[in-house]
Amino acid sequence: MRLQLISAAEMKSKLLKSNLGGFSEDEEIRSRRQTYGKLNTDEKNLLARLQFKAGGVKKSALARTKVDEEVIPKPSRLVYSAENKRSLPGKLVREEGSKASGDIDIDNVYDSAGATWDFYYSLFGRNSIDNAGMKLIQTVHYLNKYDNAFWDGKQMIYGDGDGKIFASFTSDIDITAHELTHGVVQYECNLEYKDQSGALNESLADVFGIMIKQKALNHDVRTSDWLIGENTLVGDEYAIRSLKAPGTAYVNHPDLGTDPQPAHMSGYSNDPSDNGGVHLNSGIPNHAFYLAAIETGGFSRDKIGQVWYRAMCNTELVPVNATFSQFKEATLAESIILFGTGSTVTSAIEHAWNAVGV
Amino acid sequence: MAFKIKQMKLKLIQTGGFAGKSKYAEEDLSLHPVQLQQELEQHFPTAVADTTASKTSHSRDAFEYFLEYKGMRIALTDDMKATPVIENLLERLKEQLHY
Repeated sequence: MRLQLISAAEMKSKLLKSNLGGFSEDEEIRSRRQTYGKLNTDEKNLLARLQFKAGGVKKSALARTKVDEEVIPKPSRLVYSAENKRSLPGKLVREEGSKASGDIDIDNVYDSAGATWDFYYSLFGRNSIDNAGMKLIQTVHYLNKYDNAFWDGKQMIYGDGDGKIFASFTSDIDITAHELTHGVVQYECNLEYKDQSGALNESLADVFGIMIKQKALNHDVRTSDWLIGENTLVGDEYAIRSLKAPGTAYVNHPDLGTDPQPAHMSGYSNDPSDNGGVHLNSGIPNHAFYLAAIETGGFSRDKIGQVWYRAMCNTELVPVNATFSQFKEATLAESIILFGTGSTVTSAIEHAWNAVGV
Repeated sequence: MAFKIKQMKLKLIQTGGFAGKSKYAEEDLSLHPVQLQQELEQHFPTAVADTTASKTSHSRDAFEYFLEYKGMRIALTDDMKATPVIENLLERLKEQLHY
């Protein structure tokens, strides 16, 4: 990975050249910033040491300057209401920078999408779903008592829930983050939505969903509940999925029965009703992520999350029809690059995948 | 004297969704005019049984709908809804969906 820092003096020079039409300064700064954003703490420290040895840069481009502020990307959120009808995207009810609407569903998805955008940008230098500033379009109040949230390839859509089994699907930040991550996957490894690749697609959405929730709540791997959708499935003892203990998110629910997710390959099953069990078998890679994060400790996003993100973006190692084994190899390869072969992180990842039978 | 009534059940299945839990609803078509059965059957021999998501669709967590009739399962398509009598039946079945 090549990275050059840019000094304030250098920036002035480049700005002058830019004004003369030499090149797009915005693009260069944005590219450097995004590359910098993908570095881990050790790499950033190493870079700083090298920079210092090379004579120092008094004021790097990574410090905020007036010019910087102009090129730092920002989210562009648009929230619509379907007004309990089928029309999409519906009526525009809130846009970027506008004040809270007072409608809890509108404001929930606005805030959750903002936290999701911030997560991807601050940790990975990723500018929105497509890494090119794509607008975050969300529609709430879809149909009447609609028990679902989904990504349609272009936007997110949320139902109000029936109020008995499911509350509004805007109730959990991890659900919004899950749906947005389906978009990110679409623009990266673009995993086919069936069988193991489909289960990986679902798992990545849950894994990033839980990390975004953990960041929003400042939870580390020990304080997190590792639950997805605990406010959406009505009842204090219920959630929709658990990464910590797949198969236990809800037990003896009067309508849904017991969470059927396996935590190990021995429980893998091909459910033809759900594209080969995409929402079922995702419990296996979900649990692998949990185990790796627990063994590593701290905040899941700092190390294991970095590895998972890089694996998700590695289309050479993760083809569209990737198996669990291929994704395992991708995470190990990325971990070796970031942390080394014998590192505690790489060992934790290997232990985790082995423990779930992959 | 006992009569054995031949049941011709149409089953609507809703799969997928964020929670990934299927829902079902059934209707006995023997209680409906023969015309409905005939119109419905027209779709089954020509349909290709496929229970996986479209490869070109980028929808994720969306509900998908299937019909089961006489032991065959097919994906519910828009052209099936073009017949008013079938559309009305499907709308009623959707309202009756349960886990």
